[in-house]
Amino acid sequence: MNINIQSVRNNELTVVTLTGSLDVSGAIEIEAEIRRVANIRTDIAVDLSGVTFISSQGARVLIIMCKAAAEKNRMLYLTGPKPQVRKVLGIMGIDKIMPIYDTVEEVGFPQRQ
Amino acid sequence: MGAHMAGYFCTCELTLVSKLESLKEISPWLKKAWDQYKLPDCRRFDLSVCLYEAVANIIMYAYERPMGQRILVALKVRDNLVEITVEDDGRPFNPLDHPETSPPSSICDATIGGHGIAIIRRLSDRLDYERRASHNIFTITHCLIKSSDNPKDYDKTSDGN
Repeated sequence: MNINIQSVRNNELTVVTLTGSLDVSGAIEIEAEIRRVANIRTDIAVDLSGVTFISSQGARVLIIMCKAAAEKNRMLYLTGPKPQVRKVLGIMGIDKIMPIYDTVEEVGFPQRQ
Repeated sequence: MGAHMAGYFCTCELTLVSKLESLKEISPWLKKAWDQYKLPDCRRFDLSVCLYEAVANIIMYAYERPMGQRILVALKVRDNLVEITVEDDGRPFNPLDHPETSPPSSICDATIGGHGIAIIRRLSDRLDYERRASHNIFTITHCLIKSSDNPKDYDKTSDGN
């Protein structure tokens, strides 16, 4: 496995922690878990602090999760991306549609927008 | 690593089979070249992403029937420039003709695919394409050191896939 995914639900927020390489193979490896998490009816914080590489095909899982959350009137937050990962997210415009925080703790008690 | 070429500080070559599993070879190969020639780390992540996107595009779209076709990758360093050339014999595709994408204004507008070329454009300093003898030859050029480089934006733990 080049990537690991863990999800922990805490009341109204589910924290999804990704670790490793979020590329084509990584996206395929975590697809089933991503689809399961996408059906959870809480806001979602995706902790990217352990992601060391990201490609456009890998980042699509974030868009899939965010679209699923939006359909349920829920929010999806990204936390802790390394500068290079954040740069790729910026090029894709993901930083314009998903709030990015430095840490999961900063997400706190999210307010619906 | 391949042979040195006149005018270049170093030249390294990699042959990949056109299948998704081959993408895992890119980052270790690039790191080995980087370490061998003591190139500045600050450009490696960007170049790694560009190369990954270029090769992934070929693997996913260049061949109607993927049958173990070969993709040739060459890295050349000259002065302050590093050039990566990616060559395939798949269907003609000029990445420079690919339309610019605009950032989504909302999650509803966000498209799931089609960002690879945009990423290559933004993370590189120059792109060249040539169709020669039924081959696509795509060259991605990076300046190794830029005056705008900020060491704080570089994290040594991010080293590619």
